[in-house]
Amino acid sequence: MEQAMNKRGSIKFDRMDLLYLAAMTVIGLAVRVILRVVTTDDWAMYWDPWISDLKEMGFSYLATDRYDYTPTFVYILWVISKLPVNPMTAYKGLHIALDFVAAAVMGKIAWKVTGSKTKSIAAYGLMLLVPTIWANSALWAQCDIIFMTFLLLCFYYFFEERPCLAMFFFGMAFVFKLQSLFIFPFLVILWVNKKVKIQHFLWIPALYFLSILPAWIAGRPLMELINIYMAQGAQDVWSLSIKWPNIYQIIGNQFFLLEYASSGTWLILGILMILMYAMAQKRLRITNEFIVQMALFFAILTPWFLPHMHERYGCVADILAVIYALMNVKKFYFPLVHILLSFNSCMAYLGQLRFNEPSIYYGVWAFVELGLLILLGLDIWNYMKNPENQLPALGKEAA
Amino acid sequence: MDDFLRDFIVKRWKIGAFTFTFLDALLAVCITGTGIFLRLPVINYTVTGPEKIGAIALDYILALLCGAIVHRCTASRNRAFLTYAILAIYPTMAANAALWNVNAVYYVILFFLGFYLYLRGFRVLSGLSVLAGTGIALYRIYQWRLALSVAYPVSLTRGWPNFYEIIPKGAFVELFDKVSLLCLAGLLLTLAYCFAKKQVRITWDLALQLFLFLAVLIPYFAPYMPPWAGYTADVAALLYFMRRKERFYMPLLHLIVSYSAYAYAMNGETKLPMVLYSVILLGILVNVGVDLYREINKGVNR
Repeated sequence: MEQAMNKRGSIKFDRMDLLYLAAMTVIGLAVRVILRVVTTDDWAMYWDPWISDLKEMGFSYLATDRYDYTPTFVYILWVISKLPVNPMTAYKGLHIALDFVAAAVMGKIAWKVTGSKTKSIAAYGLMLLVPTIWANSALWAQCDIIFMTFLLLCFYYFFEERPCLAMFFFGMAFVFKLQSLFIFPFLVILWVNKKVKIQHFLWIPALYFLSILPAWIAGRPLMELINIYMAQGAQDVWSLSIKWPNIYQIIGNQFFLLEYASSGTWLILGILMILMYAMAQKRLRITNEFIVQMALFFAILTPWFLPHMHERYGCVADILAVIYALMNVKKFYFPLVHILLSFNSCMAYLGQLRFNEPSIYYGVWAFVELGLLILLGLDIWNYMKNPENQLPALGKEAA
Repeated sequence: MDDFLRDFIVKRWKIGAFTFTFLDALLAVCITGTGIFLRLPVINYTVTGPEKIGAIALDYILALLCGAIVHRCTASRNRAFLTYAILAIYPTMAANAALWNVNAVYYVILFFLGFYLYLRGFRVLSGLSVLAGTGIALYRIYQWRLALSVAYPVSLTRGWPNFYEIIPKGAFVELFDKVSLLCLAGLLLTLAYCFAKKQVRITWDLALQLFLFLAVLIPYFAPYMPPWAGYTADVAALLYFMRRKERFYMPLLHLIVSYSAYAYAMNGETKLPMVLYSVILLGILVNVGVDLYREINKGVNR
């Protein structure tokens, strides 16, 4: 066993590996270079004016309430505003570079969980081809790759059995995007099963506080900075689902806007509580595959019920589905279907469909997503029911 | 008399190394005739010239070639005859040349010739044949694009219900056409890399699965695919069925998709949404992909 672990310590590349890696890097880069020219609404309406203001006002811009993203992201924009290059090129360049970092981390995860060099190298190559990844950074000028890279690092360190570092990277992901919380319940299950200590959770508030400190010093009120995610959530409330195929695409996303927005949030909280209660009843053998199963389950479940979900909010599930398929090849259809669904939603926005339905209606996709959720739920259920995966209960162990 | 006739129709005749019964000969003659009579009523829809006549002749040669491939893969005379018979009246083949005068058979036959030569062990000739076929195919698609005289392409698909029917096919056309080719190149490279690293022994079964997989995969992601982009896969799916009876639904479904694409292009309307066919094709692609994966693992384990 130890030998096997040592074997997984480092990867030795032969000429064919290097050739493949180089070719895929060139292909991945070429895809992104082609797409970098697109100017989307997000760029024109948000990032570009923010960078212009940062150029004009410097760091004092951080004292204003003109931005509704976390200050950490605005620090990056501040750095970009100082660079002597076209801001969009610099912005997209940074996120494209992170695409490659994320692909490398994915390769390392594949190496860790499979021990197969071929799978590991192919995972790097395929990650660069995932359309929701290149569409997000190179085409859309979105920034989800930052928190996704941190989430990938979080999983990598969980697989390395270094929970403190894993939680640090989860905290880093949270500092950039609230969507990282979609998978938070799985951390609670890990804590119940002694894979994470309670003090590791402190990384989340600590890093968040550290991240808002410069903006607070710059002059923005502390309460505003703490509540920035709340303020973010209060925007884009014109539909219960903003092109994400979830329950509201089945029951109607334009009715009872205020009522369902509130009730839907309470509903998912209730569901998560019930699930955490049920899963915390027994102590389980925590395998890497179970970790990914749980995280993927919550990454699909939460946006399926939460209101106001955006087109790109499936990106966490996209990458987790890739890891899941790497671990268990029989689950190959999870990334295939989820990435197709997720890319379709992204393209509904990018392709300017506006209020028109895509060729496969959101409602149909919502049922597809529900199907994936049920299949994954059954996988988790079967895992938990298997006596081999059950450990003595907490009280019994102490006795 | 009855017994004489009964014996006569199943009596084996031998010409050189080739044996056949009267029933075989009867089917061969009748189905060839049926194929011709099936084509005649629609032949005047487009101009009939030497190219179309040549293509119709090649339809039959392709049917014979596929019969030979099936015979080589299965060693079954009956299946080889059936392959010829089915292909002689295959709707998409007949419509492509006789009805529509597209004559894709000029390059498709080179793919199957390449495959046949591969089975016979002539690797270099096989490669050359496939390359020649690819070259002609690309040239024909380019010619067709010119004939459409579209200054700015408005759609990523020109009639083949592929991936772009699912995502908005009119978005970022002049960027996604290049991106999709790069992604396709990446997928093919990954496939080649995995094959090379696993040192898979390419059996005839594996070769057939790979052939079908590529025939479905490439037009599924390549941009600007014409309605007849599934021609090769139509025929390959039939060969696959001849090798694996339980996959009977593949040629059936692929043929429906393919002919619906023809119908949409020729009639200008479709009874069912084209996206449905894209999903069916994706299902076929996944099905063949899973079969291929299993076959590869068998090859590795050997």
